[in-house]
Amino acid sequence: MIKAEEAIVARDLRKRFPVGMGLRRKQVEALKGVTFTVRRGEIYALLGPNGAGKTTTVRIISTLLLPDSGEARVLGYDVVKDRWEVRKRIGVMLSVERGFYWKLTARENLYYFGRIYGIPKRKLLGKIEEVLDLVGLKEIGAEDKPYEEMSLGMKARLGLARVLLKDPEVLILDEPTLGLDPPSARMIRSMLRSLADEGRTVLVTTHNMYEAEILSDKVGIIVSGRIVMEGTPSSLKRTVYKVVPISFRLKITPMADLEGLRTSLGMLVEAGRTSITVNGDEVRLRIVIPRVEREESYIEAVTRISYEKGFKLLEARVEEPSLEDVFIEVSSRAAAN
Amino acid sequence: MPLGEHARIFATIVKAEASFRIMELKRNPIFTILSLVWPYLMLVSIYVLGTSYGSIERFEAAMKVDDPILFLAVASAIAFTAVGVIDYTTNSILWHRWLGTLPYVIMSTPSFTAYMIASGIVVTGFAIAMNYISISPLILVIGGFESFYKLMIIVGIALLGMVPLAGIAAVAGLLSIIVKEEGNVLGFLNPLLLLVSGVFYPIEILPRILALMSKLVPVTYLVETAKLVAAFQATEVKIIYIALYVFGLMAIVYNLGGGMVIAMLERHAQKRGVSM
Amino acid sequence: MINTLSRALEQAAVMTWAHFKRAWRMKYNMVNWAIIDALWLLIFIFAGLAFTPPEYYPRVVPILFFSMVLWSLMSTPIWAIGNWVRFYINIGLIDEHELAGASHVAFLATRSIPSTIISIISAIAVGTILYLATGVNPLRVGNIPLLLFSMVMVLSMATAYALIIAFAGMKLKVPAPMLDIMNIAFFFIGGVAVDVDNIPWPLTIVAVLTPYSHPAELMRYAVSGFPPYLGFAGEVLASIIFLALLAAIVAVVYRIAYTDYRSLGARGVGLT
Repeated sequence: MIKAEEAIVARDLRKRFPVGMGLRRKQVEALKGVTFTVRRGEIYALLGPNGAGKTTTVRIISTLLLPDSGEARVLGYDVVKDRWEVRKRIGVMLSVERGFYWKLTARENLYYFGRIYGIPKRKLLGKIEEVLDLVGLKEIGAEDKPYEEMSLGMKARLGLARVLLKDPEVLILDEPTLGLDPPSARMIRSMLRSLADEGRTVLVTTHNMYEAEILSDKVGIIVSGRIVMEGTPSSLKRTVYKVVPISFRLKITPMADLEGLRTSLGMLVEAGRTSITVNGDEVRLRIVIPRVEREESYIEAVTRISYEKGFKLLEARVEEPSLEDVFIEVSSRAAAN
Repeated sequence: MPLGEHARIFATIVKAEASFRIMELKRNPIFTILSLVWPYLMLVSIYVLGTSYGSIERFEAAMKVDDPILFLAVASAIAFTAVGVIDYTTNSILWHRWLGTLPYVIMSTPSFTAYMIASGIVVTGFAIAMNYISISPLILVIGGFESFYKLMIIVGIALLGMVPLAGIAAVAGLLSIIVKEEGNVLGFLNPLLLLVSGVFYPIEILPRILALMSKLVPVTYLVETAKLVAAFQATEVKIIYIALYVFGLMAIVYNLGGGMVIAMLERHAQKRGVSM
Repeated sequence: MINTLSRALEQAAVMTWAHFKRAWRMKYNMVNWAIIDALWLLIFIFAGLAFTPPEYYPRVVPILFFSMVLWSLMSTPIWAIGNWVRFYINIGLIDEHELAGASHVAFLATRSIPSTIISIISAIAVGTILYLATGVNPLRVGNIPLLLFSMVMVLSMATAYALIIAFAGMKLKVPAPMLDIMNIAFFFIGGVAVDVDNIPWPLTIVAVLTPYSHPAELMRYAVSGFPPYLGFAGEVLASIIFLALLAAIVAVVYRIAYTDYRSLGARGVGLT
């Protein structure tokens, strides 16, 4: 039974795809039981690495793909049985740079899709001007530019304009800011925020931690076809606050041995938990250690190693973990399991 | 750069292009089979179409040949060799553009013209080999060893006859990447060459303007020479020499002209950038 | 019911509008394509005439001309639909139309309307050059409405055939034009280039079973009064029955490809 405040409900979604040909053909399990709920007016970010199952999940919820088993409902309608009812109520953006007629302009594409959606002509013409204004395509003079000549940012704005054309109650967007320049990405994020503030529900996939952290009300981390953790960004940090990142600033001296530093740190900290970047005559070093261990002993050890390898410690700082740290922690735990 | 270095790079590109073509044949058996079948399809199509409206005897008389079937087979091979030379050159550049490998190809030589010439040599040899390998069994079965021997002479002449086309093909190839269109803008070049060269019909049948154009096309002389070789009349040998002189002249004019146009296009492309 | 029908018509109209817009923006490409088409048609026509004594030209030229026009109508949809289905999938239009509840068949089928322009331009060019070469007016036609009917039938059949190979290509993951092995056979032994009566015996069956042969017989009847193999009424009926049969095959092949698309997604039926 679906509750009135629940806009999207996915229960134990499973999906397998065949790969290879002939005798080498085998099945790959893309979704291994995805379950999550998005409340009305909420922005839910599905966060995961490439190939985790984000797009498959979104395509099932958008009614484009049939699940092998499990159930998904949008505003109470089953995505398989009532797909037309679902489609009437959702706006979907599947890609930043695909899904348009290349030789038509932004305005013509919107007219085309508006008519295909069945929006009456007179209403549509007004609506097109409104959404072109809203996404800023008019402001940058791109409303009559052919799609094939548009920049990625313009294409993404047009994608969002098409979503808005239908006035959907639920918006489903697959990596809507992928590869965009900062102004376009920011514009899309602020649009999504204001749409959610109007009471619309937004399901967005991303592997951009920053975006998930600042944009979403709730985050679901999906790894290898399963939601491994779910919650608000801050609750996730609290849950996974079992690691502590420590960052160091080291000065490079003439005797500095970067490879030696790397090797010694490799023996001190678990693999994949260290990052080293050289910036002019400085090295920025970041390690992530388990919460249960004492930070001071690590700071002491890194100071000693740095000295031995010809570096001078300028600064050491214990950080609050970012969503990225949470994500890496959760992903590595899931991989280990 | 010393001349030896140029020669070394040139040889490397020829080898690379040749191994690429052979790889393509090995990895794509359907393409290989289709390439070998095309001359036969053309032969059968024209035979069926022609005999349903007229007769083979009329064709024999109109073309002034002894064996119309053998002639049609050789004509089809000539036609597809010409098509192949231009198609492989222009299409390979378009493919590089679509695949995104064009910048790397361009950067592989000090001059793109060198790449075009090197790949042109391979492509010409390749087109001739494919088409004559295709029709050889038919020639052997119908005409025996004597016809096969004549075919080898025609292959030799075809090699010379295709040299003038290399310049045209290279210009067409470069134009196709400079003009911002989805397809090959000079795709009409192939059928136009075939139409005016009278491979499958006497040139007199064409309207006057097209008949005049045919004089500028090397394939026209190749077809005429093939007819003479097939007939093997000693009195006509002089005419074969004339045809060879024409090829030589056309090769110089077209390839020099082509070279100049290519150099101009290359400068233009470097200034303006090409649609890659 | 009326609502569904009017929505389908509205969608087909806007799809045709979009295809025409695209065609106009690619007008140089279209003209280039038409020139290529015309040049190939002329090569075959002149080759055909090389077998024909000039005194027969007044009878042969119009029929040969319209046979080649039918060939053009048969082959352009293969590229306009069969080849384009790859782009339809790969540039994401298939998903957007699916979400809009629009018909994929209608979207692809309406592409053959603007592509007819190519055949029209090429037919005008071929007709003019043929007239200059032979002095015979190839447009000397006995029954124009019947000729137009036969052309519309061939175009509809070719559209259906292109849709069949397009959807079969989706199922088999092979570019559709590679599946087009039948068109050239249809043309030469299927009663399009050659009238059914003139085709040697066992092949006559193939010709009668070839959908295109029936409108082609009507074309010959319209152009020169040449009596159709199955008689006038027989050929009209056969044309309609074969078109209906092709439409039914489209429906079946589409259903198979669509099931794959719904369960495997666009990438599962895409070709790249």
